[in-house]
Amino acid sequence: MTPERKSRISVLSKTLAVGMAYVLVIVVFHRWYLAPRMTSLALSVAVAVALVQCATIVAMLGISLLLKLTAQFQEARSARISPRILELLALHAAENGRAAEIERLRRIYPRLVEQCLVEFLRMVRGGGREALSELAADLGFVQQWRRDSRGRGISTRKTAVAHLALVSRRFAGPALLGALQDDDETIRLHAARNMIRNADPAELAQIFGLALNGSRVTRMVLAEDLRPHALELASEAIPAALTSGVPSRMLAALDVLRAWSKFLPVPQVYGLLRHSDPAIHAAALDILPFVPRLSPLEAEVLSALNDPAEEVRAAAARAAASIGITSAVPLLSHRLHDQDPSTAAAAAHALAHLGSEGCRILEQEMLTGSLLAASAALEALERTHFSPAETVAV
Amino acid sequence: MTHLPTLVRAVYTGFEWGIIFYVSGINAIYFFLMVLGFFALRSYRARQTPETREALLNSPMLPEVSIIVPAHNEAVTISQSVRSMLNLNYPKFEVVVVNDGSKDDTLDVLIKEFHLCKSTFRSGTAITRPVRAVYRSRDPIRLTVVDKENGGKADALNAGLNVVRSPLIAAVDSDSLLEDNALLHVVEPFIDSPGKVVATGGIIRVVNGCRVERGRVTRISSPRQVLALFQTIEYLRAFLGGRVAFSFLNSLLLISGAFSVFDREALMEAGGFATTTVGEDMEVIVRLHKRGHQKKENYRIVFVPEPVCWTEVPERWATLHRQRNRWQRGTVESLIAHRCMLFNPRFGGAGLFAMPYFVVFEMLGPVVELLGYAMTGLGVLLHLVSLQVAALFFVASILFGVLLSMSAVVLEEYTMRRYPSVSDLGRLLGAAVLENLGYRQLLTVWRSEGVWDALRGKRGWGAMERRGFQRDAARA
Repeated sequence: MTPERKSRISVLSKTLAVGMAYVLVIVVFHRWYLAPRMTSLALSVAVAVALVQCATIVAMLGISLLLKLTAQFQEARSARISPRILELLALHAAENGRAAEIERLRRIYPRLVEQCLVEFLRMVRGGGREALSELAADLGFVQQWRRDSRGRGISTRKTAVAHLALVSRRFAGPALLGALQDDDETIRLHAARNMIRNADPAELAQIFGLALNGSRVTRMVLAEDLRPHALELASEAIPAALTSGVPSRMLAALDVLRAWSKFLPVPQVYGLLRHSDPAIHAAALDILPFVPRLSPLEAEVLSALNDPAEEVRAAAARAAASIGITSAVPLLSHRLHDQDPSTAAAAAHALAHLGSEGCRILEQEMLTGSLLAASAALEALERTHFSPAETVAV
Repeated sequence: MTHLPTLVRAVYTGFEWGIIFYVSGINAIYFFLMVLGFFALRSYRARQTPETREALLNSPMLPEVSIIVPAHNEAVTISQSVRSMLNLNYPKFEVVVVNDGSKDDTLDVLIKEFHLCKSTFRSGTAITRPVRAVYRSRDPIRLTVVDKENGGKADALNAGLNVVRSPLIAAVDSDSLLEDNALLHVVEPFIDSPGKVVATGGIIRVVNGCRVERGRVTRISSPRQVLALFQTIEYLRAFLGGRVAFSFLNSLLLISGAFSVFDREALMEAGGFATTTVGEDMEVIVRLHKRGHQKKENYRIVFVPEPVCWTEVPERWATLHRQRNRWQRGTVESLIAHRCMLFNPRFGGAGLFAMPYFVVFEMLGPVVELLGYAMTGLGVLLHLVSLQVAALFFVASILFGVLLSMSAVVLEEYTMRRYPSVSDLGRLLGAAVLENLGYRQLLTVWRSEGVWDALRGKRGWGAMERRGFQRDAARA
């Protein structure tokens, strides 16, 4: 059962439980308290409903006011005590001798000390971080976070993983690696993001795998976080994914490469230029400008411009524009009349980028072409060469 | 009076039981939706990772969004609204304002404020009232203004659709202010389930009483004006309870027209916005459900329980009357137009749960409620029902209303906590009680009138009064 399904079932069962409890309270109140005292059954039920509603309203009133007042009290207390705790933590990070005093404060304000420690850990590096990590372990926070990282609640696990990522790896390592296998994707993402900073090559490959197998949001986030490690990943992890033979992994890897738009030594992309899956073929064409040109590309792109799949033709038009294949102009002008509007638009855009000959064809299409070709030409010229200063002010 | 014919008594008793069953049903459904909304909201928030948003915003994989803003006589608010949209925290978007034949100086304000100049344009496939001109800004901002003849909000949205090319389309009311991350919040479901999600919307909040500076809400406060305060409670109840629950059940029939995002391809396939109804926001969602089921797609229409948009609510009774009349007419028109979906298993949850719910409780609810009041009064007069039971019936229904409103405020306090002070909370809790003593009954009358107007084919929006966001800034 997927975690999402589990969560849906849990939400529905909790809802039903609350509904049944509410009805049960009304029934119990009616049956054992009101019915013996009232002559009319209808009246007894109505009074039971009304009174239970009143009690719930009063409870809600109390709860909301209590929540608000508690939050305000905590805020005020934090504003009063936190500066002192932060000062002690700063001194401890610098001189390493304030543990006893911090421990004393922890006994009185455990949550506040934890919050301040987490806040401070986010700001320090090097020796200070080591000292504070040791302090977190001595104060029992690290052990608590490790336990919480295996807890039942998603929020609890997520918070624990975020906190563990702040302390030195010798305290948090195994727990973070464990979180990479968590059932919940948001926690895996959280753990991965927090590990990237200090990850070794094997861990980086594992995190890259998470990006490939995860949802699109996970992939987008991890792709950005992994961007500084792109070259490292290009040596093994990316080629392995591109040659895995698993279409979803190959597509995901191409997706990440497209997001990076970095020049990387991954010649394996060439192997995908004749792939039978049009989505992979198109994605590989989109990556072409960012891989070393080991063999003549023109033939591949020109052939793709005549591919039966429309997404491949559109990608080929884009590739012709980015690489600057001027010999593609005649084929592109033909593609302006493509049945697929996005291919026609891509061809027009490519022509607008391929110098004066392309622009001349577009201008001609605007005057004499079909409605689709003319509008694609107009839009491409306007998008590429539109200059607000040239237009007439109203 | 006590010697009324037996048949009359029997009919009356039957009717009263019918009302009791109806009221019990509606209360049970509302209660279920509110509790489901609570747990669904908690589950949603547990899965949220706000830390990832920065990385998402940097990602080139984010889809481009075109924001279409229909504007009709909005000279007072248009500048701030557009400014708020241009300041959105999202890397790839354009704003397209459609001036729908305004008679005030909406267009002049836009030209002057954003340095517009005439530009070339090409028309798309949607048929609309004639476009007079298209303007673009000379500043480095992606703003387009379409000036067209008046044709209504749906027509303006279709005209906007004709000039945009992005895969995602956001429809935003010109009297709305968007939160900085609004677009990212509502686009996230599209990224998360590519190809599955066809429309999304978020929580709309009441801006009356808040401080607004340069198109941004800078201080949140509950409204001082009583009518706006009552509407704040209504919005909380509708969005935090109902919509979260309907979205959870994939049966959402309404995404507020103040701010909604659509998959362009699905929207165009469904035929764009319908110009024949005043409830184009509901109608288009119902049509998207219909399209999804007809194509046997595994589609989703998602409500994002994040506060994304602030809107000005009416502070005058007459304006509110017109608005509620229009909303009710829109609901009735949409439900009648797609009546084939009602109880039709081919349309899944939308046909078997959401449509019947809307017909029985949202469309007919006010009429039944009014009938209930009238018949109970008549029953008391004819001694068919005791005053004690009638009063208890009335008190129980009021208490239930208070319970729901109070739940919405508690839900807000438990999850969002957007109102910072105790006095704000006190005002909201007070309003949750008071709005049930007269205000809701008045809305019932107006909504019944709306049902009647829809059935006799009344058209038109009625004038909406704009007071401008700056007024609150000056006062706050």
